[in-house]
Amino acid sequence: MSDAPPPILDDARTSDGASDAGATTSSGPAPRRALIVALQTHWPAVLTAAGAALWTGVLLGVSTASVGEAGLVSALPASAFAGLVLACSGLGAALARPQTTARARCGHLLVVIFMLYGAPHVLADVPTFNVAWRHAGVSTFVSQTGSVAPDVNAYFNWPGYFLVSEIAVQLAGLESALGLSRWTPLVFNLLYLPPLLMIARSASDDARLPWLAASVFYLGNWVYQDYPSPQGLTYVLYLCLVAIVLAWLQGRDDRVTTARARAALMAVCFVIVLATVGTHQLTPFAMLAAVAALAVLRRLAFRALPAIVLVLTLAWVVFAAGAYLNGHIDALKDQVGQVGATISSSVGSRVSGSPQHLAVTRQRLATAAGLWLLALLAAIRLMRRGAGRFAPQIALAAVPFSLVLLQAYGGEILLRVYFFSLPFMAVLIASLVPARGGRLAIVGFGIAITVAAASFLVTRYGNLRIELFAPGEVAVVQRAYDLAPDGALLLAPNPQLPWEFARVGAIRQRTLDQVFKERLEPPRDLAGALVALAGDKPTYVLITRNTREYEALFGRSRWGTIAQLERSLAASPRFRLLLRNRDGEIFVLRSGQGSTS
Amino acid sequence: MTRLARALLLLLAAGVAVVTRSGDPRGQQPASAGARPPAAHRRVVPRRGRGRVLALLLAAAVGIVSAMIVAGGQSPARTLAVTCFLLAGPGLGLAPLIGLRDTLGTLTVAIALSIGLDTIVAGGLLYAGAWSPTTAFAILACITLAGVVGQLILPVEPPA
Repeated sequence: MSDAPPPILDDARTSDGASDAGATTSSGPAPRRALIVALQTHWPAVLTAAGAALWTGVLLGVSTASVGEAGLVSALPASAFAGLVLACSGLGAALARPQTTARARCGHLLVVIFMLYGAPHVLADVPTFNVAWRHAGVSTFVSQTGSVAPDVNAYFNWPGYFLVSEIAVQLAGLESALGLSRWTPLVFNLLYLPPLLMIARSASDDARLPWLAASVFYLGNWVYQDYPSPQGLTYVLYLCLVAIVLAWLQGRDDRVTTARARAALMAVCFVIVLATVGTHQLTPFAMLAAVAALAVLRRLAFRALPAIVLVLTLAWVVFAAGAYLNGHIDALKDQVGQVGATISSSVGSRVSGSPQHLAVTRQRLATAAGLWLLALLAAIRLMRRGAGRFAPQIALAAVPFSLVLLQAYGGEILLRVYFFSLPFMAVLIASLVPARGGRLAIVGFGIAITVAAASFLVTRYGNLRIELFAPGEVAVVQRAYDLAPDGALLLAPNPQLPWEFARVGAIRQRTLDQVFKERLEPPRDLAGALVALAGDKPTYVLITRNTREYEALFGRSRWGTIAQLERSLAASPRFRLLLRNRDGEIFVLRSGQGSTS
Repeated sequence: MTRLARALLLLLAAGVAVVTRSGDPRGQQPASAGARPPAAHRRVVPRRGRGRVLALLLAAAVGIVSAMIVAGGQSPARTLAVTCFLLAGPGLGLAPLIGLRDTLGTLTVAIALSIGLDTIVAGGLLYAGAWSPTTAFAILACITLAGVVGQLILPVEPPA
């Protein structure tokens, strides 16, 4: 990270208005003069540090109860935004001033990454995001059994992340992977930085471009795939693979490394691919698309790499993930080539819910479309001039769209396409920024970064109200786990509760959206439908605060509303209320099989 | 703790002791003291200075993480140390051996190797029916120390 030349003080004083520092302070005492000179030189660092301190201090005092339907921004006081403006202005100045060293730019960027990706998690009383709780349950299963159960849960077919997570948990002496989850988004984003900088550096000798590209990436990464998850981990490997290929294995400049070093780097690529195929379903296909595109462009000296990725991926799917393949092969085949249905499930079905949620969703779509458009403009501009070293970036920004041909990926494929193309879009967009570094550039960078950061808070943390769990909700779920015998059925109106973190494989945990595929018209007896569904299984129905918030945000489900469900359960002689606290309640089916004991 | 894990931890302790005591035999000894001079066509140069210090620091860090794990208990410092080791340790042992002469590049390769090796070692143990986080750590620590030893004794081959 020390590629840029060290700062030259004389240059620093002549390029951004600090040249008159000596003249204005010549009459003061020496220490005061030195302080003023230091401030005139390092004022961006002062701004960023002050902004970060203000932001973090304010956030520590924000209550989770004040988070509204618009997410984090609805809970932030004006002083938090003042901190954000200060820090973004500091980063903007560091990027705009040509004399800023690489280390200083790195420092500014790290502070802003901490503010955007780390500090919001200090708000949470308990770990956020229901899927992180589910992933913790998978890791715990590995810890308790020393094995995986591919027939029980699809995650066990690609267990790499859960194994590494469990190793970290055991070595750190933690109770579960939830102990690591609070800081995981920050850690993953810090790991993304070195390969991101290398990817940008491979396109240009401009020392500022990598930092600009990294800033665009971090301000545009709202898709929240960096929570504790297999895709968060394999994204690091994806970026590293592409960075290594672009830096050393393009076959364009053999002076960069020795033959021995190139052989070692090929071995590193093999390790990356081998680790990825056993960790995540989709990332190997993104890797395959990327290296195949580079091979087509003749920018891949390691010509066997696409074949290696393909063979290892297929081998894993056939031999290690056979259980998943057997159960899903028809559904997977049906989705191939269904581009219209895939886009509809990724976009159309998401634009619904409360007015605030709709506003957040539309801003997300606008951000994604805006960045894609800017990247397209940059690509056209570069290609008119002869793309040169930017050619791989253009191809790598485009090829993730090929994933849309494969499958809908649970309605998330466009999110993943955006995620995989974002690093390369960021480089292309950074190439649009003019190289001038005067006062106008400093002000312009500051404003642009501040606006982008404010937008980021809306797009990334727009769902925070339903992702923040209360301790009482965890207590409700834990009580159900304590009472439910093996083979029991746990039901919840929707997935927005902190569950599946224990008893994986021992009890079934389903949402009513999953079990009622058809629309149930009121006044159908919901309790009666659940009794029929449960059969003779001990059955518990969990309703928590965030399941209600989820319904308020996304609208009623096809089976009805939570209020209807509660009324039906309360009126039914077959169910009784087992527990109620301020954050949730448990109804239990009176089946006489121990479920009410 | 399994027998294999215990053996590997013992090996690890011995490795730390050897590494922290050892110097760079080729880097410290003059050619006349019996060290085989490098072949002229390879133009190898001994590793010294900052690289050697960093290698020794990595070995010491492995020792500290091992001690924290053996001591038990739960603390943010232990969580941070374990996380840092898993995300960068094995790679920082091996990546400098490639001789990239680029800090950012070496760091990128180190991260990739660390996560890759963590995953492969963990998966290997699981599918071999020998799942044990302690054994996984011991294997990764041995890989790291092997890399450190390599950094201390192997010469660097500069780019052509």
